Amino acid sequence: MEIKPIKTYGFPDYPTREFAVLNPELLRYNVPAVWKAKPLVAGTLAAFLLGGVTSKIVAQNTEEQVQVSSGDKVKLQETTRDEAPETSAARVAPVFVHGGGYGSIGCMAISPPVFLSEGEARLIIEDAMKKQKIAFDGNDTIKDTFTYEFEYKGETRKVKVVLDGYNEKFKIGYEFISREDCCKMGGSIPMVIPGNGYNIIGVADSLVEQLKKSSGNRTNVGVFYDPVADTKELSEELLRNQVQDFISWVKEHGILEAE
Amino acid sequence: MRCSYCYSPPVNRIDMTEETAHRAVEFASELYPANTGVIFFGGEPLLKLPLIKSTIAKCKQLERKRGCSFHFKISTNGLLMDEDFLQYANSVGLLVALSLDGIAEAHDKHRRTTAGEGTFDALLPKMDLLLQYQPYSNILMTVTPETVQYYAESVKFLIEKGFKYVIASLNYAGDWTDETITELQRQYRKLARLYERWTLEERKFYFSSFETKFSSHIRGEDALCYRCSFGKYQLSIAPDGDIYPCVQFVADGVSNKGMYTMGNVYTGIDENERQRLYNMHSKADDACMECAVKSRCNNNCSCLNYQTTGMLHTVSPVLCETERLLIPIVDRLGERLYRKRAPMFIQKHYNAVYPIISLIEDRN
Repeated sequence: MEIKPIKTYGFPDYPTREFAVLNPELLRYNVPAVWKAKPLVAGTLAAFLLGGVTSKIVAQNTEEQVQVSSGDKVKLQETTRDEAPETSAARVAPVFVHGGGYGSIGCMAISPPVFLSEGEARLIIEDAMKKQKIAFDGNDTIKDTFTYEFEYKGETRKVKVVLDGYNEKFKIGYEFISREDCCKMGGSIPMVIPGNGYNIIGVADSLVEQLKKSSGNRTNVGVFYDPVADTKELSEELLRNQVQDFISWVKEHGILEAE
Repeated sequence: MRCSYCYSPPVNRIDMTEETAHRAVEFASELYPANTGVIFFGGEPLLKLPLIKSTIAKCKQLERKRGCSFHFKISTNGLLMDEDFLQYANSVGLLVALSLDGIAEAHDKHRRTTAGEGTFDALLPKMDLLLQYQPYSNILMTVTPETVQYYAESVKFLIEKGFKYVIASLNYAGDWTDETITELQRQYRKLARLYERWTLEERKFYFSSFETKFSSHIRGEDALCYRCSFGKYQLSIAPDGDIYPCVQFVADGVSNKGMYTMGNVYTGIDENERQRLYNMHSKADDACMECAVKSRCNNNCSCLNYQTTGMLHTVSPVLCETERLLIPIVDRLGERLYRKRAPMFIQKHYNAVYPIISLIEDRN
């Protein structure tokens, strides 16, 4: 046996990930049957695909379609991120996808991802909202509570969720899903390669779904999540984008005019 | 146990004191308070369960006092793993990786007790117990020239047993011959057929030897960041508190003292030493420079190089030979699966949020 450098090696005839980014239909049209059979899985995949196209989703609650920022209309077979029906007391914004919202740690050879703290996120969210004259301060911050449910080892667990911020004047509240929240709300994955995983965006998604079904909640709610980017700066920028999309949603729904 | 391929045999052993263990986690959390990973390894770490519990308790205390954050893993031979331990592990978020070489014929070849008896039978009920408590548990599997003939059968056994993550490593320091290398090629081909079948059946699994090679093509340069950064993001602490760039260099905790130490948890990291070791690690083997697949090869692993050639940047001919076998087999497999537009292959390798979707599927 000896060291023998390979002089030439043909480029393998299966694509790199850049191809999938430029051709999103690769993921859209090749969905495992076991995923298609589960509406929540298919719906989440569809929502992610749309997020990947433009990173900006403005959901509409008609004809199961969503409008993407380019003006294209993309048919969603089963969307789980549409808005609450008119009959619901709560008006809940969809999760605005900016950043993967998934982090894994623990592998022997991987540098850990960067998570935003609750405090860092609060500064970003409230600073952006303040520019729209929406303040979250004083006693208003702990206004509305809600019980979130998740499955853990076959049993249903409940966590009381206190919105991170609330504005009485416009009845706008928000919740930021941090890594800590993710753990408390059943989003910590015991072992996913390359280590321990945190499905932060999944918890955000599930929270939106449950908030929509909640009764007695008359808040206009935005749910943000830790994008878990490679750097803190990028995470902060992605979170700002989530907040900007929420502000657009608030304006489109005339919530600021309801004074 | 007395595994015959152990890189850290039980000679010159000293035990880590509680004080050193506590100082080690304190030291590590000062370096990276946002997210410190603590991996317990040995020897067999479960022989020191009270020390592990005390160390984790110290970490929890630091989390409360300083707002830092820890996560925990343990690599165990499984013999002392019982229900009480797994309940404890789940309660503190300690993730268990089990060292298991596959079917009995493979496992018992090297993984024996001090009396020379195989340990497979004792582990059988423990496998079910582990899966019950930690269904995503990793299997750490070592393949040697003596067990290579059972490679495919062993992976099949583990996946059919219910394990989803098989992390397989070749013992490059073993006595590989042309015959055993040819057998390895045959086993890789068998594994490729199994991988293809399972993927077309839409089963979910992770087989490290193939996944890393797919990734090195599909993710290209991005995959490079998953490689070892040798002492920059991961440190190994010897029983006396000395800091090494990787577990393999700790060895017995004595022999490599001075040569590969880069500080001590009581005195801190010697940055000059760390940089010196990193520079040695970063230097590429001249023989690899002109190789067309150098960016997809495992030649960058200084621990493997050290283990086989005694030099951080000198690649073992066995590694070169086995990588040259593996890469084309994996690429042909990737081409077949892509041509068939195998949905699970496409989602697993091209969808950045595959782990999330997969988890949602598992929980619904």
